[in-house]
Amino acid sequence: MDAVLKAAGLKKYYGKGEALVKALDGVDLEIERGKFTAIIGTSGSGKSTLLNMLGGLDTPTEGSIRIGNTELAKLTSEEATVFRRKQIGFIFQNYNLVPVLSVWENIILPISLDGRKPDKKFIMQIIKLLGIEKKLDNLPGNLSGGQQQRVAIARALGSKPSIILADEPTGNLDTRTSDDVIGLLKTTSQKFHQTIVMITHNPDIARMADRVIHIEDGRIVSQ
Amino acid sequence: MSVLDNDNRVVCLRLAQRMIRANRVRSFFLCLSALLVALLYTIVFYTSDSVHSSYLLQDQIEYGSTSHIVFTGLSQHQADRISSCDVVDSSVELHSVGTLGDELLEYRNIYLAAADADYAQTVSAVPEEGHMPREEGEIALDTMTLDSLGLPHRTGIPIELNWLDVEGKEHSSQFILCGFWSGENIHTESCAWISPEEAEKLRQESGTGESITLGVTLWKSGDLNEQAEKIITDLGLGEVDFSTNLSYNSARMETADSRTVSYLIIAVFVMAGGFLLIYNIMAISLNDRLSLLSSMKALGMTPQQAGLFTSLYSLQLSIPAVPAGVILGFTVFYRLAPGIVEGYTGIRLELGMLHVWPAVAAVLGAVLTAWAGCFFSSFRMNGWMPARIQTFLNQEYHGKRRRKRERITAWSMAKRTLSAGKRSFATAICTLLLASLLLGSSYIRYISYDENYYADEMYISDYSFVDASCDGEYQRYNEKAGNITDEMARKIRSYPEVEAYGEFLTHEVDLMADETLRRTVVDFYNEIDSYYGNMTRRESMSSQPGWLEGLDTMEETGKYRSVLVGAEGMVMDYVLFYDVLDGSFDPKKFATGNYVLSVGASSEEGVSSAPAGSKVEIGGRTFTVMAAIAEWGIVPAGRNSMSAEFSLNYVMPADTLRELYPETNIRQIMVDIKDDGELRFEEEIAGIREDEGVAVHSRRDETEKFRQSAASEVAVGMFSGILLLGISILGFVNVIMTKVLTRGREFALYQSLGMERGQIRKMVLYEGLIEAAVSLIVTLPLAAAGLWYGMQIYYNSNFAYISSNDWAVIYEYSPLPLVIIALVILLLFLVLPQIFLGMTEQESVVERMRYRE
Repeated sequence: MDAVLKAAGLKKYYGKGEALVKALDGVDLEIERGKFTAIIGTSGSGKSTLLNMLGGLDTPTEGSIRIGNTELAKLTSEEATVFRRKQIGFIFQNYNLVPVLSVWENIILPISLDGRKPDKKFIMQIIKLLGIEKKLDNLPGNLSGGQQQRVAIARALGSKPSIILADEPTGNLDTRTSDDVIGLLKTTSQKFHQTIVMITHNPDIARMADRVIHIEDGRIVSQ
Repeated sequence: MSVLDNDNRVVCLRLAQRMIRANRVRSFFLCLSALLVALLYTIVFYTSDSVHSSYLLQDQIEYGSTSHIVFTGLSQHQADRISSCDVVDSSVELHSVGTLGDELLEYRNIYLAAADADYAQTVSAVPEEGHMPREEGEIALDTMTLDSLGLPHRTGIPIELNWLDVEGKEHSSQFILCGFWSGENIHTESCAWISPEEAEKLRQESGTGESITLGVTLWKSGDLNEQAEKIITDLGLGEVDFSTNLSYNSARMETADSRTVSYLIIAVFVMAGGFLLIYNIMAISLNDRLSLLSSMKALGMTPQQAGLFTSLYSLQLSIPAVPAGVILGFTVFYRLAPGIVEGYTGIRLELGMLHVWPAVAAVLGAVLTAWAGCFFSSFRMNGWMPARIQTFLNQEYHGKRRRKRERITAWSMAKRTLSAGKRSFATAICTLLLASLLLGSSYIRYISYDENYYADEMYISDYSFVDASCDGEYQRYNEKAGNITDEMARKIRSYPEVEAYGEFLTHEVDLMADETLRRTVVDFYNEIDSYYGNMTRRESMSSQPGWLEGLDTMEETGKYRSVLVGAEGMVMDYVLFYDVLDGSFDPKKFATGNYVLSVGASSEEGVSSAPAGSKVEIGGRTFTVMAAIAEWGIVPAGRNSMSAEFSLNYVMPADTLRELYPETNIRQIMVDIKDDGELRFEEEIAGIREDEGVAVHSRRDETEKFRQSAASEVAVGMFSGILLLGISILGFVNVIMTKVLTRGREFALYQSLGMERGQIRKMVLYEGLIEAAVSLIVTLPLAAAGLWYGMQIYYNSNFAYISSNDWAVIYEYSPLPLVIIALVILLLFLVLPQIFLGMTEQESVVERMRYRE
């Protein structure tokens, strides 16, 4: 298997003594390049914590994460940030669009932060596929939830990352819009050969993935 | 290639611009704050600069010239060589034919010189009335010289002047006064301008050369003495006299620096207050900004970029605000400062005295303060991982666990709101503490200036009328001036408001000492004075050759100079201020005119004047010395002649002196008036006040000046303290608004659950009380203790005794500003929440419940 991401012995503990919470308790995981993987679990099972660790948004108490040839634990905060914006695309449940920037500016933001020139042709392809080409000059506040999440997908794909991590991308959307968004996510990932790891608590949405990993009480129970 | 390459900074700038546009209200208040901070910095720095410049100008006035070095007694060749030196930037020349020789001007050096407008500018000797001499026979003088000579301030009057040429020969010439200017009391030198043609004529008539005084301005003003010596040595000029400008003297400059330090301390308060103000505004929107920061970091914004974003944000806010604040601050400063600086230093502020550095410092200070306020509000979080920021935000939203399960009351609910907006609340409290310290210390400094003590020490009567010929420090009293006429004295004495009257007449004579007096005096001064160790009193006076000469003359010939003092009325109180040294004073016998009091040095080890019971012959009459008294000091005004440097003086009734020497005039009148008679008395003496021959001093005027000076000393601190208090109150208003106005939905919810409006009002009242109590409990004891100990340390240090009136300080502690601040804060927290609550209650419960916050 051509693994783009490898996690070994991943642990994340909060608190001490009686108040100790084991959010992750020894997770070993490999994500195959170009595949759409869903991580499913109940509320409080540790799936969001896992995603934060995989994306370098948080540091594990123990264990290692390797993306490509880079060991995340060995990077400084500054290096981890730069690595993240170059190699990882994020899609959040609450979209995390910058309200003062237009749709276009939001999409190219990670590329701008990196000081690179956006590949306009490539980004326009994504935008057309996601059907938001007429909203490019709008501010996020003028868009519906579904449209905002499409912008977030475009932003995640635009910087051509090694892997896209999606945290409950349909959590704030109705069923029909959720199906649309997941469909688009899957279509674009196939078209652009992207690796996607998605967190969800919805088994119906998880079923649309190539692979489903089940997590409970901070441990992987099936995959 | 490092992974840190390609960190884009332009996107940070764009983001900062968008954030400013998107949050217009916050941006407006931040701009306003930066403007306020720049305004305060400008006022503080410019006041500091102007006070510094004024002190240096004061030194310059004392020196009497704006030139760096003044060389005297030069030939034209020497003057030309010095002027052409590389180190000399510019020079001005005074060509004098001699100096005025009237003995009444003996304490001052007045050059009779060809009119030179450039030189006149450097020594502030430009006629304010009339003009510089244009024709032969014209002369321009300063008013002090006119007063000393007993001449009116009126152009066109004929003047006959004695003058000494450069070889010391005496001449006399007639002139017409064509102009005059106000001389400075502290000047020992001045000019008597005549036309160049007249100067040439007088030089030819006297058959002597001219003396050139050269004022030079150097390129660099460092160590003037060293530079002057170097010029003389390099040019091989030999012995040349020179003096250097006092305002460039390093010791004087250090003194001026230390005098302005108190203003720079206020700048620290401004910096802290400005920082807290901006920090407070930023703290209100902290959660929103952190949420954005978390997203941005998740998308790849590095800590460096996050810091740059915040810095650019504050910088862009500063671009319009800081220049506007500096301009506004300068306008305010220029409106207020002349009075403050004049009260503080006695110098009228002019634009030319100001520098650019205060504006530059104000800009830098304001930009840095704004940056610090913005930057440090989220500084900790810049390096945090996005997940940690989210955790922090969740804690902020949900609060901490509560272990107690207490009954819900309005009081218990009120207590729970204390932690909301705690950052803003804490910064407002810190600003309040700063304001309390600044206002409290300024107020204590103000009340510690004791005007009664000052007046008692400086002015011994309510009014003093002084002959203008001796009003200046370096003016010798002109006995013949007679500006205070007998008629004027009679009128003053007759005014019903006058409670006590006294007059001083003085007349100098040469007397002969008998053998007893000669021995008494000589033995006294030949004795060792324990105060000076092993030195005799005569040796201790070695720095005054005139005095020694007078004593020697008396020892050898018995001849001595005596200042006869005619004293009447309240003046006798001052004459007898100290205990009698020998004999006793009997007022009835003294009034007969057959007795005199001899005046000597104050010593417990002997008498230095005619002893009681001895006889003295004055003006052909023999007087008995009733008592020997000690010299009393500060009155009358002005100086006696140089010949009286060593003198044995006698006090007698004024009428007795008039009988002996009928031409004797009144030198000074002193008057005490009834408590309620001041206004009427002022009306009565209005004519005398206009008389240029008489200087009128009133205790009230002088204490008023003292009070103004004290107010000037603390004005900037007080002004900054009030502004800081305003900033603090704004912070509290902000906290109250946030706590009440944004809880409209919460209050509606309580009402929907059955809480009465009165209960909600009570809860909000308790909230206000708790916050007021916390604010005051944290602030006031700290401020009171800080002031108590801080001011004691201050008054035990040299910093408290820098300006000229600081000797009149008697430390007095007062908590009055703290009490006023406590009342204001209490009122604020009790009234304002109720007003805001009323505003939220204008909508119905249902409407408020629907409202999405």
